[in-house]
Amino acid sequence: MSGGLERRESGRSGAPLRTIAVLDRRESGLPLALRVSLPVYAGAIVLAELLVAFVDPLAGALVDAVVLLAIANHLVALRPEAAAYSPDEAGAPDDVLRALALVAILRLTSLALPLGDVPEAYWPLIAGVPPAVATVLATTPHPLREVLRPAPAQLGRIARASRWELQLGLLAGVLLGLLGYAVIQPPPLATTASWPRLVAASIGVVLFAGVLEEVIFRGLLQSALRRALGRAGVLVGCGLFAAVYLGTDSFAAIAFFAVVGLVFALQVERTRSLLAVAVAHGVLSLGLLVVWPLALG
Amino acid sequence: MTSLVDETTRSVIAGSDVESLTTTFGLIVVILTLVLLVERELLRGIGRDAAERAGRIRFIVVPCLLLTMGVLGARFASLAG
Repeated sequence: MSGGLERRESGRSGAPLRTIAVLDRRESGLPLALRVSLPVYAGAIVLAELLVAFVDPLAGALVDAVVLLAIANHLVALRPEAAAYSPDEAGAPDDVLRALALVAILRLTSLALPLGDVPEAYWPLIAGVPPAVATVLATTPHPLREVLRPAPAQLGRIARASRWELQLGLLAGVLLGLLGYAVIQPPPLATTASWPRLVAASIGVVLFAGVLEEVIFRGLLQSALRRALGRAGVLVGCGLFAAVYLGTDSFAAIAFFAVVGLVFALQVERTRSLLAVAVAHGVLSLGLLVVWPLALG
Repeated sequence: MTSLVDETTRSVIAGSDVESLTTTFGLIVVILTLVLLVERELLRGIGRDAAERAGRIRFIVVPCLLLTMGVLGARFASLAG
């Protein structure tokens, strides 16, 4: 895949190479079965989120389980060419199924783990493990791994190109966290009375509420939907991201995260890099749930 | 307040005991895991091509197994306690 990186590098005539390059945006046709089933799966996931938030969480979990089973069978039934990667481009037609399955796993995990006896500060850290494992496994056998792992000779250049993105992500995360706290005003996830809980909550929200969500929604889902549906795929990805926040039980929170998701999606669309948005989302979550409620609450 | 732990999931987790959670949401995950495992083993027995196809769902099976372990672990801990 280093060849792919070099092609991209030379094709952009010296444009900075991003640290975490996302999948290529080249258009390609989807198999008919995928084209037909994609809106069904996406609609079912949104339906599950609506059921969880407004009707009955158990019904939502059941729909997510059915979606997962259907996607698993669909993946098994796909012809090898639909699951195969072309040497000329990152991503494969079945990526969109993998990405949608990750969204269903995210919700099923949060509902099915019986964490009632565990302090709430540890919930994000524990509930984040299964989706994180799924995300790693979903990307491991494919060229995305190679895209994420550049050749040693390119590391210095990548580090230089990424420094401003890191700074941009940190600044945006702090500001968005403050804005989010002003809008939503959530209670603190942990207090300074228990430092282990504070540390666990901080690690959990940065890694799993911030970085993992960006890898799933902007890195995998948006790239796969963009590849499958063109520019409309970006909007569909934003819609799914907003849908998973329906359970926040607050219109302000849903609207805030919908707008944040759209801004992050456009940033990734513009730069083809996850670094800034992953850092921004991690810092946003840390500020919104841990730092600002303690400092300003 | 994240997509993983939002107000709804928080109220579900906090408002139910281990027994009711494991026999509702947990049961869904356990059944899903069993179905996926059986399907995977059947595919492996068919032949090399089917076994390769079964490998495509590993990223769903493994987290479901983790969830199942969590559900069963919590259930056994509840029974023992």
